[in-house]
Amino acid sequence: MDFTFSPHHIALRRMLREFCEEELRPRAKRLDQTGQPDREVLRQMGELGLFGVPFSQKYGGMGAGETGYCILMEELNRVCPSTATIIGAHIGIGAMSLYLDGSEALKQKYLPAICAGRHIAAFGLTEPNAGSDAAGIQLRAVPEGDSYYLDGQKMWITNGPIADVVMVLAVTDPALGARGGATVFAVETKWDGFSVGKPEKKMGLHGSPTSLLNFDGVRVPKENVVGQLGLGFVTFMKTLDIGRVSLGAATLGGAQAALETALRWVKVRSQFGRAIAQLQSIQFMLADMATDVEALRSLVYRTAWLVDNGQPFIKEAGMCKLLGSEIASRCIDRALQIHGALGLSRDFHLERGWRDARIAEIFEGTNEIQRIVIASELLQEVGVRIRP
Amino acid sequence: MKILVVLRALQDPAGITVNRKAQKVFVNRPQWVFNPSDRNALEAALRLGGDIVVAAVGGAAAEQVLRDARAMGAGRALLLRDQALADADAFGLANALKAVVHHLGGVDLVLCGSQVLDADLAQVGPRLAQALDWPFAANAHAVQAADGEVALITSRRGEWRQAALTLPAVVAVAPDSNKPRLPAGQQIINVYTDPGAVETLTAADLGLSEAELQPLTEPRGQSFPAERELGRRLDGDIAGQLADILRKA
Amino acid sequence: MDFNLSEEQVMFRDLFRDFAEKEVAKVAEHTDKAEAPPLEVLQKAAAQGFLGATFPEAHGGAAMDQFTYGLLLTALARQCASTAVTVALHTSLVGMTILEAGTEAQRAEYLPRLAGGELGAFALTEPEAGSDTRQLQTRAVLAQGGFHFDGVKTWVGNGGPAGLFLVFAATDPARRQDGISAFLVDAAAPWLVVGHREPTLGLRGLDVRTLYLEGGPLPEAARLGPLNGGWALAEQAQARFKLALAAISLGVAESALDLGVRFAIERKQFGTAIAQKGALQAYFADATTEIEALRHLTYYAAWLADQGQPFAAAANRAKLLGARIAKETANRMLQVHGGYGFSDEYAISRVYRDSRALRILGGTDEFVRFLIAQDVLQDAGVAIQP
Repeated sequence: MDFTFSPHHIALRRMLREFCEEELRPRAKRLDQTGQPDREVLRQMGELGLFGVPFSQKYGGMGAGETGYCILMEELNRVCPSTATIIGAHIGIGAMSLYLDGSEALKQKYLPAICAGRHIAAFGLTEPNAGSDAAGIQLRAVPEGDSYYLDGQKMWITNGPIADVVMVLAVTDPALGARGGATVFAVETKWDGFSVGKPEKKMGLHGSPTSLLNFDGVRVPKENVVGQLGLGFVTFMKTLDIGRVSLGAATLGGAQAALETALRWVKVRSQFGRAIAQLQSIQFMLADMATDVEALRSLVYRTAWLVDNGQPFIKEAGMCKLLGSEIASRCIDRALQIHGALGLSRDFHLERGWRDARIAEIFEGTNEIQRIVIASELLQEVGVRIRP
Repeated sequence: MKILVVLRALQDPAGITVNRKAQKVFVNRPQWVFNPSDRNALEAALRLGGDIVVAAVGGAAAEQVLRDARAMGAGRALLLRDQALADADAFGLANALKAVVHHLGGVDLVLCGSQVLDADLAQVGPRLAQALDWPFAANAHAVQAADGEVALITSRRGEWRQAALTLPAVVAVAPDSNKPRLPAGQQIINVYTDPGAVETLTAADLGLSEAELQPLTEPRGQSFPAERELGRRLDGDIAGQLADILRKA
Repeated sequence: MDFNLSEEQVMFRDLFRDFAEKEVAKVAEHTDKAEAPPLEVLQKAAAQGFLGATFPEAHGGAAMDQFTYGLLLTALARQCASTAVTVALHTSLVGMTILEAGTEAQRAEYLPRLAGGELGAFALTEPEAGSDTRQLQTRAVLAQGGFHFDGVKTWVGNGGPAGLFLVFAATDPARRQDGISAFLVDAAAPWLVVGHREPTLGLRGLDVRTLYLEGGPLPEAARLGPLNGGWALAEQAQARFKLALAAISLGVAESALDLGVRFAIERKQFGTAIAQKGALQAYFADATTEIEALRHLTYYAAWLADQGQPFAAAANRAKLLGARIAKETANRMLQVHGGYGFSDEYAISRVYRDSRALRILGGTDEFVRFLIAQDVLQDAGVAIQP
């Protein structure tokens, strides 16, 4: 056993901490208020290599592995969940599906631009009739000559309005449907027939734009098929499995930020003639938060290690997402409680953190789905197969 | 142009608590950072361009700072690691750095930070210049090089002066005189996974004698500077009160 | 980072599991019903070296690190929490305190006895000193022939079967915690009376006693550590015990989940095994998620201890989380059992009762929370008092 981070990961975190504190923190509030991603900060992130952290340097990535990527997500989400979400959709699911299953030629075609941040990626799975039950997708891809023509809609697509390339799951064989008849396509958003709906108005993550995507006979060349024809569902599920680890890391950053904020406040806020840090009810909230954060940290980085070492991780990844999202929501809610009315003020950042945290219990597979994933892995170990 | 940048590692101020009552500095988390103005010196060197060598004296902390400097763009890093240097004062360090300059076959410019966050003695730069018999400027901003000269602006007690030094020269770069770049992630990964990214030198490698490293100073102890008196907030008739205060002063 | 167990740790883990499944499992129910520790099994454990797990080989121990010792406790607790706590009190509180603070002569005398199967008991708590042990009422006065004692110790685990007691008493009461010393007392001492057997809700196999100390003398050579230096020994012992309790909580939670899953596979309602019900699957998912988080936090704390780094902060967190998760998992899995869970015929009811003790034993949840808060606030520059 060795719980020590490698020197390169420690150095990476040091750089990220400085970037987040100096560049991102001053902008986080404005991102929330305007709902517009900050192009300048995205440009800087591109220069630092933050758009390709887990990917091989062969494709222009940073080569920092899943552990490095988790460090990135933890640090970003500690300061600005909207920016973390842009990166999460870009790297963790958008580019990841291409990285996992794409052909060498297709990876060479898109990954260098994706890793440099010149191309923003997105992940197109959800449809009006397909959410947690992804098998219900209807977006059609019809072959003609050396191309496919895509018709249909995707919704709730993170990065939709700013994406340059979207990995889209489409039905190529309606008889087989999602299981064996769905395929992933890398679609450039500048192609004819592609359009973006209005950005969704959301409770939180205002700085991370989300929208509907329309595909109106978009012509996609056959070489843009990601992975094997008909096995797109498998590619997407694999992608989501790995994405849950870094999502857990992001929630860790959120929970950590809540604890730090609370610790700063309890020192300076006085009631009944002493700092509220001296009140046991406050101390207990802090102790529970610190305990949860420490447990989550151990779980997340152990799971990242499983990924980096090629060991099975699906159950643990679900755990990272499930436990992480609930711990983050709980910690931020407690931090808000500790701040009293100030916690509710829109001049202070906690109410934004509170709004931003809630989605982690829903996206990339609701927590109810995570419980099915975990229970099914657990029961499989004792020889029982379950149906969702 | 060949530039040597001298770096120092410091205990990260974020990891310590200063307790005036106990007259003690508590280290909560031992972690190391660049001395801030050294980072400005490195940034100034990177902007000038050319062959940039960074050097630092010490152990693991110094090595970390050198690796960070390599990740920021320095081409070569030298770690002076020797028990004989552990007790060296500014005189010894200046001699060691002079030996580094010779080891490199001479350089055009030596840059260092003009303030050290911990002791703030600001001696190594001028002593090195003296040892090399090169011109020296402190608190430099806007360092530019052309035609065998380095042009810069120095600040001292609010006065700004333009200056030009004939190369080779030693220049101490002012804190906050530029915005140091962050190292790109790829560089961090490559530098930190490359065991050869930092070259280690001993006093013997540099041909340093015991006399050259013998300290001239002797630390007698440490104490906190006197607490500064807090300012006072004036309300109401500010002009009248000010005049009153000035009359009494 | 490396989360692999070493080859040696894997070997030990398998050995522990094997022992626990073959020897401990079959006496677990009896241990609970008889309300007495399984002395025969403990002798077998001693023969395997498990009662001197962390002692040096020279003193009859198995020279395991803290991490491996934690694996032992988890394996034992998975079958019988009482047995695991019996071993933990004996090892973490008594044996390791002698190992750390004893003179060479004391180590050579006592450690082989403990490793050989003579149980150790830790006598700190008093009627008026629970979480707050700064002011002890029990006195030890140096007179002719050695120390003479006067006082009562309560909640002394292993009190009945113990051969050796580690007793804390005030040697300079005016100085409160700076006036406490530690003593090694043989059970045979005529002035030491083992009293009332506390009947308990759970952990019934743990022999909990009230101890009366009425007289002396105890030779000066039986004092452990410096005079008036006992408080620090008690604190260190309790930090180690928290680490042990985290490992035990992990085993208890694992056993509860195991019982719940097995029951749900067998039990059919509405035409299917209840393992197919989404509501119960959610319980399993939450439990296994929390157990996994607990496992790695516990491992982390043990790893810190083995690295010689400060581990109390991590051990406190693991202890608090462990108690909560063990209790919560046992509660949910009892629910999975339905009416059967309420029956004494099913092991889950015992696990549930046992789990409740973990929120009190070795520091109440409330006191441990205070310790954790003290730690995080100290980092932020605030000092707090209990």
